[in-house]
Amino acid sequence: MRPRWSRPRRIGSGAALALGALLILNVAGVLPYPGGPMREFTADGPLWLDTKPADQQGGFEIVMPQAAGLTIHEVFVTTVFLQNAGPWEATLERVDLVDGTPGSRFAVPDSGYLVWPLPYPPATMARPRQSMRGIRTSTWAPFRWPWRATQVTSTTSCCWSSR
Amino acid sequence: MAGNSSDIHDQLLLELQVTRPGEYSYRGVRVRYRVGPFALQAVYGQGAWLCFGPLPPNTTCAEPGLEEADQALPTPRGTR
Repeated sequence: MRPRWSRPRRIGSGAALALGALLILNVAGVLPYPGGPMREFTADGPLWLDTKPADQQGGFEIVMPQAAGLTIHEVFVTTVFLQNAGPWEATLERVDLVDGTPGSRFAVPDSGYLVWPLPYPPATMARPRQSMRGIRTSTWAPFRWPWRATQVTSTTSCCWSSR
Repeated sequence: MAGNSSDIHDQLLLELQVTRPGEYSYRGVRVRYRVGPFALQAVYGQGAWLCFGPLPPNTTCAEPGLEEADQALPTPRGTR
């Protein structure tokens, strides 16, 4: 029995079906595209092809040890510097932690926080309380030629607010 | 968020809420958004390790040393 469709046509139909399924999953929110116009401030890839993991594009980490005196009655505030590099309007849907400890979550505060002066890179801030001890920040530079990252570790003062 | 924007007003301010004292950490912030009907996400490489008190008596946070904290960071290939 001869196949109904030629081989190129079968391949083309299969590719179209796969693409359609990906689009449906994407629109349903199940499979978000990892690139796009809103991206890391250190992003260095072409707009829609910028799918490299963030850890290859630079970033930072802050460490607040026990000596810093942070309590659950206070709020750790952090900022994300958003950049929409595309001409289209983007709508934020959800913000969550990557590999976050169970029992912690992000919330978007109502208002009332002072966001000035802006630190660079974006870091923790709110209303200054007091200088804290032992806070460390590590910043690593974007992963670029000659394929070496520069990591700088330093101590800093940091601020947060009382609830 | 409007297109072609990246000024100081385009900052998302987030509070980390925890329920119990102890150690908390995260490796980044994932932002899900839509452009038209399409779902996209961006992962921002900014993490934290935090010790929230008051801790119970005879309890301490296992504070990461600098070396340990560095290992907790995502490390680009070829740097170690």
